[in-house]
Formats: sequence, C-alpha cells, structure tokens
Amino acid sequence: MESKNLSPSREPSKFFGGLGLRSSHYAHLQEHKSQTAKWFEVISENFMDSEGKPLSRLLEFRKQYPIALHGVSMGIGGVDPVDPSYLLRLKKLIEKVNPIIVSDHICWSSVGGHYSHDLLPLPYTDVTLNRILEKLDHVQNYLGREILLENPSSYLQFNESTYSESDFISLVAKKSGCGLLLDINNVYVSCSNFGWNPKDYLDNIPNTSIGQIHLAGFTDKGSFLFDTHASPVDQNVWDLYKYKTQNLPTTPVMIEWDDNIPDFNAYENELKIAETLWKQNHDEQRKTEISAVL
Amino acid sequence: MTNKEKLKFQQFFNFVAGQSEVPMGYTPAGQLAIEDAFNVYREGHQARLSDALADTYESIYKFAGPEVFFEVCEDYILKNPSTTYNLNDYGASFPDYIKSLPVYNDYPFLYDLAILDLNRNFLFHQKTEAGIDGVTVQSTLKEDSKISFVSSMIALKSDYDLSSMWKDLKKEDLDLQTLEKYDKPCTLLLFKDGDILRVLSLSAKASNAFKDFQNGATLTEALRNFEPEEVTELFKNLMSYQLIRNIS
Repeated sequence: MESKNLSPSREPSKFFGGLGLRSSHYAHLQEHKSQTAKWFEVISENFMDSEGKPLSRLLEFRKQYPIALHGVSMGIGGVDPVDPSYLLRLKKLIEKVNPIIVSDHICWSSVGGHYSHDLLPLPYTDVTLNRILEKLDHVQNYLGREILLENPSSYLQFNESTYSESDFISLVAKKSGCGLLLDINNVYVSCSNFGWNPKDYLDNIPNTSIGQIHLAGFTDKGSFLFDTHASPVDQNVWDLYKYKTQNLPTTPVMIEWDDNIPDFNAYENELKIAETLWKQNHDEQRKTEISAVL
Repeated sequence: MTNKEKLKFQQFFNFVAGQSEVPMGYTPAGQLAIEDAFNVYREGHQARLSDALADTYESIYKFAGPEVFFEVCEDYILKNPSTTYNLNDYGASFPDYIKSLPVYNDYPFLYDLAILDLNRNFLFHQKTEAGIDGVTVQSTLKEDSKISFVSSMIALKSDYDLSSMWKDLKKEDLDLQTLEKYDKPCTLLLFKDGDILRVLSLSAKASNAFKDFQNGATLTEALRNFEPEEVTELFKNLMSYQLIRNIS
C-alpha cells in the first residue's frame, strides 16, 4: 500500500499535543476545555465491542476534540492471522469516530486462538519481518488507511533475532509504508533493560516514518525497568524526547498515564513540559533560520 | 511460518498462561533471571484476566473479598485461557465454574448472583433499543395482540432475592448469619434506560406473564389471572421505559 501523509492536518511547526482520555477526567473535561491538549487518545478495544455508555460518551467527546485510536490486540507479529471480526469492528469504529490516527504495536498476543492480552516480544528475524509485512498489507488495505505501529518495551529477547530492534522496526516502516508511533519511554526502558544506547536507537528510526510520539512514566523495579504508565515522565526520557524532536516539528505528541492516574491538571502539566521542550527546540531553530535570512 | 516457530510462540504462551516450564532460547532484561523475566509477562497476564473477572463479576468480588476472589481467579484462568481479543468478554463460563466449587454447596446463590453480574455487564455494552411509546401501545393493544420486547432487556428468574442481595452488597458485606432472608424466589427485569441500567423486581404473576409473552401468548392468554390494577402496574413500566418492541 502506498504511503500517505502521516501527520493529521494542522498548522506547520505548531506543538500538537494529546492526552489519554480517562473516565475519571470526563467530568472535568465537560466543564473545562483543556489548555494544552488538542486531541485525545483512547484504547480502540474499549469501544469496538460496546454500543453502550462508553461509546456514546466518546462520540459526544469527539464533537469537541479529535480522537486517536490506539489498539492493543491486533497482534501484527503473531503467528495467528489477524482476527477478521476484530478488523471488521475496528473498521466500524473508525467509521464512527473518524480518528486522526489509528495505531497498534509491533508485538504478538495470541497463539492457537488463545489470547494473552499483553504486548509480547517478537524474534527480530526475516521470517517475522515478512509475516508482519504480509499482515500489515492486508490490514491497511482492509481499513483503507495507514496505521502506525509502536515500538514495544520488553523484558526478554529472542536469542534467534538477527536484527536489532531499531533496525527491525525501521525495516517494517520502510518496506510496508506504515508509520511509526515512536514511544520514547519504551525506547528508554528497553535500552536500559538490554544495555543498548538509546540515542543510537533513536538515530536509527527514520524521522519521515514517525507519525506520533508517546511519552510515559516507568517504574524502576531495581533489577529492571517496568513500563507501567503509572508515574510522571522520567528526566532521561524528557532528554531523549528533546533530542529526537529537534527534527520533528509537526509530529503529534501524547502522554500516556494508565495507572495511579492523577487529576487532570497534574496530567496536563506533563504535556505542558513536552510543549516547553518542543518550543525550546523549534523556537530556537526558527530564530536561527530568521537570523540566517536577515 | 514453520511449525518450529509456532511451537516457540506456543511454549512462550504456555508459560505465560501458567502451564509449563520456562522456555529456552531467550535473554532476560537487566539483572533478571530468565524465569523472573518470563514471570513479568505471567504476572501481567494473571492480573489482566483477574481484573477483567473482578469488573464483570462485581457482586462475587464484593461477596468473596479480594483475597479469596483472586485466588479463585488464579485457578479459573489456568483452566480457561482467553479465546477472544476482547478482555471484557472473558469469563463467560465463570458462573459454571463457581458451581463446581465446594463453596457453592454453602452458598448456592453465588451462581445466580454471577449470572446477574454477567447479564448486567452484557447490557452495559448493549445499544439501548427504544421500543414503542406509551400512547401507541395503548392505541394498538387488542385482546389477541402478541408482544415482543426490546433487545436491551433481560428477564432473570432466581430462587433468591437477588435484587436485595445486590443492593446490600453495594453498601456493605453481607451478614452470613442472616442469609436466609434472601431465600425468596424473584424475577428481575434488567434493561437500559438511555445509558442507565435499571433493575425491577417482578411479581410471580408478572414473571409468568412475561414468560408467556416470550413464548408467543396473546394478551388475553398471558394476563388471564390478572386483576385490572395488576395489568395497569405491569404496563406502566413497560410503557414508561418503552420496553415493548412490537405488537402484532
């Protein structure tokens, strides 16, 4: 499938920040317009099979904010085919919500029809690459649109892998025409867990493929870092974000927070930090460009 | 895809689902031992499915308390892998599993309570179907009319007063010494009113009439033993909540 424009339509060089839509924040958001979040992300599966209150609330909310659909169950890397009923329901949800972004993960989650409901790691081999390309082609053609795939955080590596994770992910994007959802927290977690250099990892991901950025907090378990989305973004992750977004002036940025969710203002403050760092990058760049012209 | 590759994924899944030895051929993260790294996924799997069961079977969770409930879940999850991408659909056989436990002999109402939970969860995600308005019902009904009901409504029959039990459980733990007060047969009508899920208790007569309607009885046949005020009472709710889909 041909590659399309990754970024949702918006003004060039403007920070385009989003937050996760959490039910505990609905009441606040009904009363107050978010100062920083221009769009919200929801988990696709929470709405695909529901015709009840969750969906009606989402469709109401959609009138005020653009929505991104982020999936966790497609299992694009798994040996099972993508469930046709899953794809049908996702397509119907896309038609209802008209999302600005549709995404899922580079992972697997089921085998033999049994589901783990987790984002399990893949062997980074040609066999896996070809399987993903074949499944992605089917998915993107079926949905009639491009999807973004997110890099995982992981706690195990397959010894049989012949590619580094960043090489593998870049190849998926280059060969399939899909976009990437670059999760910088996941990059930091996996790099810390496996002793990789996070800047090398980020340098390896082509900017032209990045359609969205995720940031989140992890939990330091002592013997490893655990991707929990239960705390503020770590300073090391902010540093990597600033580093990578120097050349990403229009990419949508979103903060994930799924556990120990704070009140909306505290959550929104994380996005304000992302905006400040983004401005430091791009306002400085703009000043340099203007000075050069003058 | 090779059989060897499929086997590798299967072995990984089997461990995550708690069924086998630690697979070989992996490098763990950080300072973790290989088994501990796999256990990160196993514990995540257990937590997700247990939480899904606790969300669906809210009354059973409240009755049992977290410790007992999650212990029961552990065994259930081991024996019943998820077969759907939708976590919300996990655990449809949990009421039958409860029936197989020794605790069911002491508290046989647990099965009915679990069925109530399951149906509440089902209706929560159902689209609310608006039936015929009251004025149309009144002007259309004849003695030989047959009635069908909206899809966002379920009638549940039990040997226990589930409605009171459910309301009491929402407030506090049940007093195990006075459980006999719930030994009263009841029929509950669960339905959607907009986004709100409502539960009404039906009398024994109304319950039988419902069953007759669902089996295709006419108005005269279904309401043969009803006094006029009982008919009024039954139709008051059916009309005000627009629960009648069709009159033929």
